[in-house]
Amino acid sequence: MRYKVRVAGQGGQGAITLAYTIGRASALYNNKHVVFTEAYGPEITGGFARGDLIIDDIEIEYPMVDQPDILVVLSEEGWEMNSDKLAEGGTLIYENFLVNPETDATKFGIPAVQEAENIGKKVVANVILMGAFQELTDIVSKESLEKALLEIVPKGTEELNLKALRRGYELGKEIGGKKK
Amino acid sequence: MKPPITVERHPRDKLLRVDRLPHIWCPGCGLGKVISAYSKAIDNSGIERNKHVVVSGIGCSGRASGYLDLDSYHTTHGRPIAFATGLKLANPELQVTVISGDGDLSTIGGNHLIHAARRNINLNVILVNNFIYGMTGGQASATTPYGAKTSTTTKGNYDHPFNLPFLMRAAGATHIARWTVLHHVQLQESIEKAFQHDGFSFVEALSPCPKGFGKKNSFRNAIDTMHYFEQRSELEENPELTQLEIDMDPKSDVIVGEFFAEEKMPYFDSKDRFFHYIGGHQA
Amino acid sequence: MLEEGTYFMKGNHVIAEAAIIAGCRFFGAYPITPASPIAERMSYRLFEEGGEFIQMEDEIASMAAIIGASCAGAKSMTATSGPGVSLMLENIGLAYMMEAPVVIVDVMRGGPSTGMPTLTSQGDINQVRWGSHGDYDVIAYCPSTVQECFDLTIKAFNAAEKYRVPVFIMADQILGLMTSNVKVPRLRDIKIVDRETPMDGDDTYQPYDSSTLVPPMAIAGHGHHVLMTGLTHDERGYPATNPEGQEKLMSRLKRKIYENIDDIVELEEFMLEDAELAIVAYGSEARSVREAIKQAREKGLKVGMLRFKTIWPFPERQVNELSRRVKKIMVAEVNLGQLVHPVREYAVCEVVALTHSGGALHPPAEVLRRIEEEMK
Repeated sequence: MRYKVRVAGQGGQGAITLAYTIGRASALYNNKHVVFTEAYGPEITGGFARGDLIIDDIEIEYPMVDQPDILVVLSEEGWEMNSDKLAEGGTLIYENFLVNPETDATKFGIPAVQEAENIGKKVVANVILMGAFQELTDIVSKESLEKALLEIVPKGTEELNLKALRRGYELGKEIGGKKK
Repeated sequence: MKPPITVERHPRDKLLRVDRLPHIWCPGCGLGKVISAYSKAIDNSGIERNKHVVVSGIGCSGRASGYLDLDSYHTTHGRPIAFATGLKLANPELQVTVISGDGDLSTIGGNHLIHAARRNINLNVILVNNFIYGMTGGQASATTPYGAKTSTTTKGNYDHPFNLPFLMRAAGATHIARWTVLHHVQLQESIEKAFQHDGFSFVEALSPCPKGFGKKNSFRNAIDTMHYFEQRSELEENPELTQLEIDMDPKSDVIVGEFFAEEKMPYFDSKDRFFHYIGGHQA
Repeated sequence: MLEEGTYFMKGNHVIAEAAIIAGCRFFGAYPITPASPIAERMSYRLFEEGGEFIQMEDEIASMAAIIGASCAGAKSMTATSGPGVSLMLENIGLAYMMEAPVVIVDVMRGGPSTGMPTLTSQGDINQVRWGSHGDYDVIAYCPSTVQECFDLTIKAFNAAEKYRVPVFIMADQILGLMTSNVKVPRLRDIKIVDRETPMDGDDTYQPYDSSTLVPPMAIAGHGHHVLMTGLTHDERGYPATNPEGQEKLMSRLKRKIYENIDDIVELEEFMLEDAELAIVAYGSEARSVREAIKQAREKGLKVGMLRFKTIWPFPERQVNELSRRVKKIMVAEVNLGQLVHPVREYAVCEVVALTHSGGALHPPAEVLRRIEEEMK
């Protein structure tokens, strides 16, 4: 099964890390073929940032994500730039304080920023979305994702990040369950 | 034309590729004196001859490497210092000397000259300054004195020349000397100092170019230039570096000497200072 | 060094790691988008491996420095993009003339001039072939996947050492910045080639001995007192700037590539057995083409691909043979038609071009549309 995922936000929000971690987990611990590409605006800080993933059981040829099956947006600009890109029948996951998308597509708004503040650090909002993504899509296993995440976070923040990821699972379950 | 004068043996032969002689330089050119000073300095250096490497660029001075029986590299125009940087880094045991001209090192290659000085990398640069592009027919270079006539400044040079010792000081060189080729012993001693110096050494050797520079200006032949060097060279130990411009006016002095030697952390030590850590990396 | 295993790494970083495994111990470069990640990685990795990294003042200096380091015996590399290659070209000629083994990575971006620094292109193919003045030949590898960034970097070093020529790795912005799975084999299973050097104390050594195509290379400091010059030279390395000297040197330099062309050239045939239309492609673009061919095959169209893993030297014989088997060849590339010209020169069938002015790959749907059109 081939999945095409796009994560879009602003520089500094952790959109790239979000996508990279899912890719790393899938490639190294779920035995998948993964292509991860990134794109940025010309600004060093604050411009758009985009991470694209293709995850498959077989080797991936064309490496670009033109129409993602799953779109994760962390900013209004990220949504505006990609609102017409989502594949038919695709899923939108978004930060519901920063983004207010109008679409008929299946969508899940995650209060990642607010929950991150509750945990104590706004910077882990992307990790909360990562957890929600896992729960809502099941593209990558929890075990693999946790392993990959722990490998890339700065020393001393492991616990905080795991907490955020697990809070993400819960939110995914609550919000996804409601929807279903 | 008279046949070239050749000699059967010369004390310096052992460091020369004698099968390549006679050389291509004009009668009266100062490059032979530079080669002689460099080869004597090698003899006196106490450093194994096989560890001496000479690198040069393009032009009359650029041919220096080709006449020396050492590991010698004749590179592209302006780039010998960059080439020598690679040699030195790949094998720090080599004693790497760059011999090239003012056009090569300070004009087309000026960027490499200042950056090597900035790094204070342990190279010896002997810049043979004859104020002109000799091989290509006497065009102006970055050291052609203001007002001097060359084949591209027939009315007089309206560009201002570099004051090389001052430039080198500003760029961060830690050993700076200037001699004329008439100061043969002093030149040789400065080159020996360069071998000993841990850091970037810059030795400027002022040389007559009787065909390309002299005859268009105030020096009818090589001897005139040598007489000028003899009469107007002023030895100064601590001159004001801003005052070291050369105008090659028969009425002006040429300041020569060992101008500057500073202890500053050399390239390799500086790198070691920041790299004691052998870190893990994320793959 | 990377141990055996699977990694999830950026193409640029894989090139750096593979270079280290291949024996690269000197890297000199100047920052440029999109090749900088190679320098960034080398800046600390080479120290860990006992090598030297230096950020030079420009690309001219970078190229000169890696030739110098090569002459001191180090396997050397630089990494840049098109504008940097433009600056390196004169010294690439010097490396060719001195026969100094060096590896140059070109992570291609949109040009000409500053062009599109953050977007892809395959516009440097001709530049690296003959950009420096005079007649010369280089070897250029063109990876298509992150795995090939590993495999072909090893091969690039081996070819440089074996043939004493500058060797290019032609990556592109998409591949260089793409992160993907890469398998690193057991180190002892990786074939590493080191240049031949003369014996210390060998008085009969001729640095440019013409009785062999690739003479052993003297290393600075070993007492051979070698003269290496960019001037046309004789077997001793002495200037021999006359038609006879030129002919003797040039013919050996040409022959060392062309008499070994079958050893150097690497091609992949994909679904060509019964193909009526053959697509010639390379690098990232070949991935679009492969996907399009799979779709075309589902529609019953007999189309296949000849993928160039080496771009230069040009596989004259293989292209000619292919052109006798198929009705038509289409060359797909992200430039306005570069490789299509030598393909036309050696093909006996019709050759058409699928070009792109740069910034993106052809989407597979576009390649498919063109396949259908050409096979009507």
